[in-house]
Formats: sequence, structure tokens, C-alpha cells
Amino acid sequence: MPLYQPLNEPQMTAYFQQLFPDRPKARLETVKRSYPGMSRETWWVTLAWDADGEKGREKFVVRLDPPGGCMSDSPLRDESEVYRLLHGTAVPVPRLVVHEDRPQWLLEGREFTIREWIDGEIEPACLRETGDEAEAAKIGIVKEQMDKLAALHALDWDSMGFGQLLPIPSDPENCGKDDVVRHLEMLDRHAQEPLPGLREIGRWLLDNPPPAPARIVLRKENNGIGEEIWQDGRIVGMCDWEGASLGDPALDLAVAMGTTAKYWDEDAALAYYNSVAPHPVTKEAVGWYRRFWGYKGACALHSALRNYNDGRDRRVQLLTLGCLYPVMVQANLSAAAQFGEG
Amino acid sequence: MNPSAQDILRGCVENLEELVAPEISSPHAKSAMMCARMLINHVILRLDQEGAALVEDCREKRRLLATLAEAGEFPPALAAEVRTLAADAEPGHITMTDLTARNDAWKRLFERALAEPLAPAVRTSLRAQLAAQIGREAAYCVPALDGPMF
Repeated sequence: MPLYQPLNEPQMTAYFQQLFPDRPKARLETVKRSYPGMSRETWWVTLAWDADGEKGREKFVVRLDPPGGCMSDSPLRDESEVYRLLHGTAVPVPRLVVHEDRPQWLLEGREFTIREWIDGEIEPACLRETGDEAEAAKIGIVKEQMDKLAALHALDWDSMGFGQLLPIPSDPENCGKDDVVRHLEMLDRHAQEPLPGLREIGRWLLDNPPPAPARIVLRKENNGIGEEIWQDGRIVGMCDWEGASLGDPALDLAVAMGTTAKYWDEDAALAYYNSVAPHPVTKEAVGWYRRFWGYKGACALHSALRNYNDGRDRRVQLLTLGCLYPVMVQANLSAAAQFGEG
Repeated sequence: MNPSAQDILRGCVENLEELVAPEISSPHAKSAMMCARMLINHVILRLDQEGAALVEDCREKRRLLATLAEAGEFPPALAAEVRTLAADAEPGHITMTDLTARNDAWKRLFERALAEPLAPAVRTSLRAQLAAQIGREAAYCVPALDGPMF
């Protein structure tokens, strides 16, 4: 399997031509791959065409699995469906143009998604500035992140159809336990070696669950600075929904604070979230989910080594993530669990 | 750990060849990359073979030098040094592949033991050993994470 597969431009051009038959001489003007794009490839393309003597242009985002398959178990179609279901809600997402899986259009056997392009920046410029005005702006950025998470957590996911797409925790009380069990089961399916330490840390998390949330919510999981599209201090597009799940909202806050805490302290950000969200989240739950996020990453990144070991995906980043990171997480969490103090 | 050290290095070579080399235009960088690729291939072979080669070489040299020393072919001082070194038994050798398989067998039994409904003190003792194992692994994994990867 190739380590790198350039976007098949003739195939993609033909695809856009049939997608937009009213755009004469449609062609790809620019094609650029986003960085780093480990779990899925994201390509930015500009489509140009002739329109009444002038040139029409529109940018799109094309997303597909790497040649060796996705690092996670989550199919691309599910991520596409999240974009479709969220469009038009209070949670800003790019519009899904199409999810393509017809055999004649696959890109080297891979289905793909096309979504609209949203102008903006991944990291708001004020975060790189200093001074009183910049400090206030930074707090505004964190508040905006919290506002959008609160909007996400307020959605009626069941009536929107997310219950047919994502596993539903059996009860709010079991949200944390279900999260851990899902990852222990991931190890059952994909572990590349015996992992008694990682499994026992899972047991410890199960024995010490977080307080139950007020309700089960739709979560983005992978969120924070660097994950969204910003314009003038506002989030105009929340991207990368590969990890979307149903469960305790505290997970989203724990993840967000991994990138926002250096701009506004966690207690203040949590208090702000609780002032705008429909249901409060406790500091204790955020602390538990911070540990769980590390645990989840260790399980998922180790499991991704299956693609390396079976020769489908030989990118070295899989090794750094899958061999080293899980050991660091085990060292941190086994110390938190006081395994060594028997 | 799976993949093995050798297979990690094989992946590094594949990435250098397929992803890095086509992007290099500077002749100095290209030369350094080509040498790094050769050295990694050397280390892959060395990891697999060097232990057994050293053991075999020690045995051969010991046998020959001891025989010659006993036959009076060497000056007394040199013969004495040969006898001193030969007084210690030669260290044995086990390949990393065999050692990993053995360790995996013990780890599987650990997994099975920890899945049982154990007395708290028993679980505590097993967890203490896990902490020791994780600490040893962390000593050669965590220091390598010394900067951003992206």
C-alpha cells in the first residue's frame, strides 16, 4: 500500500463535471492537501469554470480515508452524516455537498466526502498577541468555544436522528463506564500484544466513575483551539466530527481545556460554560474525563498499530503515536491510580 | 512491543524512501538522508544478529586462546590473563524475538489473573508489579517524546 496517494485529479475533475453540469469546462485550479491529516486525508480544491466570458470559482473540501484505511473504527459515512444532521442548527458546520460511495467514482477504492469551504482561520490571530486588549480577546475566544459547546450540548440529538447513528449510553449514570467499556472492547478487537497495564487502568477507571451528568448529550470530542474555523473571534465552522459520540458533556470540556487553559483558567471557563449551558458540569467530572481522554487516546493509538503491522499503513507517525504515547499514558495513570504503592 | 524494534526501523526506511527522498533538493541533505537510510538498514540487521555473533565469537576465541595458553604457546603473563578471563563462564544469549514471546506469555497470564475476582491484597500486589513493568517501559519510551510531532 502506498504511503502517499496524490488526489486523482482527472477522476476528481470528471466527478465535479457530472456534479455541476451547469458549470462549463469545470476544472481543478488548485489542489492542496491539509496538514497533518493523520486519521483522514483532507484536500482543499478550487473548482474553476467558464461563466459568461468570465471565470467562476468555488472552493471545496474533499475528505477521505488514507490509502491504508482509517485509524479508527468510525466509517467516513458516519462523519458525513454528522455534518448533514448538524447543518442549519446553532452549531455551525460546513454544508455537506455529497458523500460519494458509488463504485465508478471511488478514488483508488476509497469513498469520499465533499463539503463546502468556509473562509477563516484555524487559530485566532489575537492568541498570538500580547497586552491588555489581547488578554481580553483571548478570554472572548475561550467564551466562544464554551458557547458553541453549550449549543452543541443543548441539541435534542434523539429527535435529530443521532440515536440511529451513534451508540447510546444505557443511562446517564453509566456514561463514564460505557466510555471505558467501549475502549476495553476496542482492545479486545485490535490489541497487538497483551496489555495488562492498560486493561487494569481501565478497571480502575470503571471502579472510580465520574458523577453522573444531568443528561446524555451529543459530543464533538476532538475540539478546541486548532480544531474549529474562526472569523473575527467567532467560530464559523466546527470541523472534524470523526469522534462524535453521545455521553457526558464533561468530556468535551476536558478536551477543550487542553488548548484553552493557557488563555483563561479552567475554573473560570467552567463557570462560564455552566452559566450558558442547559445543564451544569462539575469540576470533578472534567477531571475524570481528562484522565479518560488520555486513556482513550492510548487505546485508540495502540489499536491503530494494526494497520502498520498488517502492512496497510506504514506511516511512521503511527509508530510514534502507537508505541510511545500509550506507555506515557500508562505511566501517568498508573501513578494516579497508585498502582506502585501496594 | 509489537511492532518490534526492527520493524519500526523498517517503517522509518520506507518513509524516508517514499516520503522524504522525493522532497529533498539539497545535495547535502540528500547525502545525509541516504547515509541515514543505510545506517538504519545496518542497525536492523545488527539488532537481529549481533548478539548471537558476539556469543559465537567469544566461544571461538575462548576455545582457541585457552588451548594455545595451555599448550605453552604464549608468554606466562599473557597466558595468565587468558586463564583469568576464561575463569568466568561466557554469558548466554537469547534473541529479542524469543524474549518478547516469553514476556508476552507472562503478560497474557497477568491479564487472565487480573480478570478474576481477586482479593484486594492480591490485586494490589499485581498492580504493584504492573507499575514496575510500566516504569521500565517508560524509561525507554517517554524520553523519546521530546518535542512536537506535528
